[in-house]
Amino acid sequence: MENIRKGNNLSVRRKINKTNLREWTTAYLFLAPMLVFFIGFVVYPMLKGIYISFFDYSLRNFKFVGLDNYISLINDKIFIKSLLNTLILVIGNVPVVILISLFVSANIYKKSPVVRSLFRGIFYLPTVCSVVSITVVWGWIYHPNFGILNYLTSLFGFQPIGWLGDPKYALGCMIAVLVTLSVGQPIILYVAALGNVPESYLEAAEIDGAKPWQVFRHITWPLLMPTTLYIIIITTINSFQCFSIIQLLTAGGPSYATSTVMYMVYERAFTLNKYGLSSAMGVVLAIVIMIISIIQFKFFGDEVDY
Amino acid sequence: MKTKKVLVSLVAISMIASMFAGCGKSTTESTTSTSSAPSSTAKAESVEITWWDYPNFQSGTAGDYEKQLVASFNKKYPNIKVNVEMIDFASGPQKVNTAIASNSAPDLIFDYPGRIIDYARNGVMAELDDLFSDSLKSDVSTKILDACKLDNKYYMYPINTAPNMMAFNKTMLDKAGLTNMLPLNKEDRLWTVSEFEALLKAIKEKIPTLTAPTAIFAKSSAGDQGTRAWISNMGGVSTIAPDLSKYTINDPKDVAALQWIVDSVNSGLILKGGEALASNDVVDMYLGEKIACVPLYNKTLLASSAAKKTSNFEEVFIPYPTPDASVKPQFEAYIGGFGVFNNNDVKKVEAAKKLVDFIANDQDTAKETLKQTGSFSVRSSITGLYDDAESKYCESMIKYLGTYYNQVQGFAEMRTYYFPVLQNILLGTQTPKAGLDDFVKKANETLVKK
Repeated sequence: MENIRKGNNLSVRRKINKTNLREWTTAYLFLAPMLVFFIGFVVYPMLKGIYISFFDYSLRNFKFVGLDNYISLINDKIFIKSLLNTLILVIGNVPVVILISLFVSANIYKKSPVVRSLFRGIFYLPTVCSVVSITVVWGWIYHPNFGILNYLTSLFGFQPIGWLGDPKYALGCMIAVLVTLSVGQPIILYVAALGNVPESYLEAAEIDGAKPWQVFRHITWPLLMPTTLYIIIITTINSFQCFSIIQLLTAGGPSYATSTVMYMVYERAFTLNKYGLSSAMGVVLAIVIMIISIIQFKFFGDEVDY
Repeated sequence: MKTKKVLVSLVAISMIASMFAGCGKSTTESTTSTSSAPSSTAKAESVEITWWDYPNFQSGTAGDYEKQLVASFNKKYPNIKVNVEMIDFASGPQKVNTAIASNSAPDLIFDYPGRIIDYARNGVMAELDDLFSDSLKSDVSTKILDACKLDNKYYMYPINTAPNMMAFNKTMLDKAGLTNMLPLNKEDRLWTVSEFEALLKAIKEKIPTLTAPTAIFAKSSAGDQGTRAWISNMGGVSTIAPDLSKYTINDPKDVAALQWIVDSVNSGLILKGGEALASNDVVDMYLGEKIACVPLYNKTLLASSAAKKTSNFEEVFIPYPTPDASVKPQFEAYIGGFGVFNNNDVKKVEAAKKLVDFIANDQDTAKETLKQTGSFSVRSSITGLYDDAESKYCESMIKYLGTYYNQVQGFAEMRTYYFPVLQNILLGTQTPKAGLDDFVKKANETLVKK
């Protein structure tokens, strides 16, 4: 009897394994195209980038130099300044994006579908528009002589300011542009997440006498945490990689006030052909992003209640 | 069930296969296109070369004139197939660099010495000594010839040139009654800093609606040759030593000239905010009649800018002012020409050289080609391409070409140090002396860096 059961078990397991195997094969075959793309266009370039960072690589010269590129980065004042600028950009951008998108979505998600779609559309517009056209418009807004920003401030009696030309304001101006480009997606995500907060929880809290702020703080906010975590990490990574608006508005100036690591990577690689050095910069940036993302996961991840 | 599985597997496999389909080189395509060349006798000898071109020619859409040239070239050399691919000035240089780094460079490029000689320094260009006949060498200024050389070998075949100067809106000055303050009646229109300053002051006073009489720009490296020439001509000491051994723009005289510029910015003779303006912003302001004088202009710009003018005003080229009449101006110039890439295929190199020689020297097309560039021939024997007075004047000023240094070691890196320093100086965070000393120190290091 025992033997028969064992035999049955075995044949069932074998059958499951066989079925599983077939299913897996099919599944992996379907995944394979994406895997090939992922390896070819993400994993390979990444590893190659790390490899190149140990070489003095310019056009057709390719010489192993060990850690020289990294050592020269530590001593490069412009790189350190760019790294600091990048951190300021991230620290300035991420909280503002979270606050604005939360504020906007909290205000629009209960409105009628038409109004909600209208606002979602308005705030999402910068995300779908070409960054180049948006930066050209911002260039005109900030223009020292003909810009609308100076016109508006002049109505209050302020002297015109060279917004992008003054190291005091240039980075702030970049953050402002970056915020408008970054809020679109978080608003969409928050509106969806707010819609998923069960009405009964909120009603129960209200019946128990919770004030609107308490309802938000203790019911809505914790339930939004998974979305918030995603938005924080995505916005952080995007802010670290900020390049096009810098390239188009200030070219890293004035006197490196808006230079970011990504801009430096571009300049060193494509203007000066120092591919090894710029790969080293890329690796350093990737490590910094990784460390910060891990910290964010540890810090906010604990609060996430799925 | 089984059919379904087979079907699913087939779909999955075909998806993978379709991805790889795009990756392979389509060799069949190139063979058919090569054999379509109208040659029956020398099919084995047919060569296919690629010419990457910036929009250097002005008529029609970019690439039109290149096609015409290739068509006339193919009448003479039917078995050399030329693929013209257009690149733009903004992203083109990066594309070329990437192509060189990945061993897929074109065979031919029309560019300037700053880049071509730098490619040669990296060992990717073919030497062109055999194209430089004695008659060519005696016909072209040594300053231009030197710019095409690296270690005494020619790597660039020069075609056209245009000196960079200042330009004034003459119509505007006519209306304000200030034209007599321009050096139009002087020999070669040479003038001094004090005359220039007097004119700027008069413009500021007589035309108060202007944003400023003139403007400076330092946002990026674009157009930086204009501001360097402005400073070094007003100071009277050239940007670089004649033997190209060191930069000399921190000479006290040039420092004083830059101080003059800073003072003029503060007094409103030059527009404030130059640190955030790019050269094309300033040219646009000039064309939009917001300023009366543009500090960087040349014959090519004159031709390409006409459409952007708000009104059809008359413009005059004026050289950069010098400290006094005894100091002659020294212009920086645009020099255009061909470089041939050495892609380890002798036939392609030879074919590319034939195309260079054809474009430069073909009796039927050479002059038209020069006109298409909107500039002048590097050959002193070819003159009078244009009929208007300003072009003729411009052509006559090629004799004031200063030491050309765009081909020196580290030129591109030097440029990345220059404009941030100029920004600092315009912002007042560095004095002209400290800034220029700082720049020259870094720039001199680029001259010897390997």
